[in-house]
Amino acid sequence: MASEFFDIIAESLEQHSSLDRLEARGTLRIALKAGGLDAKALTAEQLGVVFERLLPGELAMRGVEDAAGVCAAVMASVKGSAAAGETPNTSESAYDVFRRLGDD
Amino acid sequence: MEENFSIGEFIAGIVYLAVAARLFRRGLRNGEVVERLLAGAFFFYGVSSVVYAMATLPRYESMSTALDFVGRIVYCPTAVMMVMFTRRVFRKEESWATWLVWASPILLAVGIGGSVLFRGDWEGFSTSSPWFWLEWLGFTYPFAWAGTEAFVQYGQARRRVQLGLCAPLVCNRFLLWALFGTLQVCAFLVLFPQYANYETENVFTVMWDVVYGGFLIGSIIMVWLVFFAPAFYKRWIGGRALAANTLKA
Repeated sequence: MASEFFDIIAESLEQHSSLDRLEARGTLRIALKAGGLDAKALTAEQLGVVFERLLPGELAMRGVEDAAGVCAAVMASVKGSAAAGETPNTSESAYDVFRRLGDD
Repeated sequence: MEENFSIGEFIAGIVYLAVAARLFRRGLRNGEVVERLLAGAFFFYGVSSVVYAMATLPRYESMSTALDFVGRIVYCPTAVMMVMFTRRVFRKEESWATWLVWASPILLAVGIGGSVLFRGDWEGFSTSSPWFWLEWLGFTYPFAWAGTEAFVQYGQARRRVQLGLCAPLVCNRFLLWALFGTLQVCAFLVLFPQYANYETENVFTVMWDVVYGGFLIGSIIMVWLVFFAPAFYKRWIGGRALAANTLKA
């Protein structure tokens, strides 16, 4: 089960590219996996990095023209989304806990 | 000969108590449940280890069965709190994880209750008893689960480090925690031959003592590096990540 945030991004990617729904979601999942990220616990910061460094390559590989432009358009469209500000759950909390563990 | 068993258990107990004290302090300060859970797990593990170590000393020979039973009972909250920690940190949203949380106390209660009531085995060293296996599963899988989840997180965190989305030290902590879980499981596996020998010869043999002690010391080092990593270690991990990213760039 992906997060609401993931659904919004995937939908936006579908609208701004030549990919259909399944392709957009699948491509996004592949990019997230390559970055070690969880679709259920995605943050706006993580999304920014994925769209800047990972997704353009994945889109280009699938024949999407102007992959960087598509990524910029998707990012602009989801920036105002309420879900973008939501606190993520599982993966991020594990990170938070392990960040705290060794601190003095 | 029980020197390694005793020393390994005793050192482990002291380290676990030190970790528990540190986590309790932080848990009180920040009010976080996970710190308190882990502090509780290490506290009971520490007390249990010290009691088990005492049971192997000649001075307490006449009380060894009673001490072993106390160590066995005091250990139970460790396993339960460990599964609660793992569920809360790694699988908060998953309903199947609730079953794993309940399985540990049930297995421990049935295993210990059965071995005492039906076999008169207060120490829990009888591998020929089916109750032993239930109890063994109840205290082993919490560490196997913790290790597995940490390994999964470590794999993801490594990729996030390359993107600048995870601190190298936190990534390393996932690995250390995974190794801690693995070494604990290895130590618990050594209990089979060790207890089997004890059951037939009433003594812990040197070879299995050394192997068990080795795994315990290994797991202590992992715990120490997670909670009390020295400055040079932190610098080393940070430097390695930086070098790797520079090479990639």
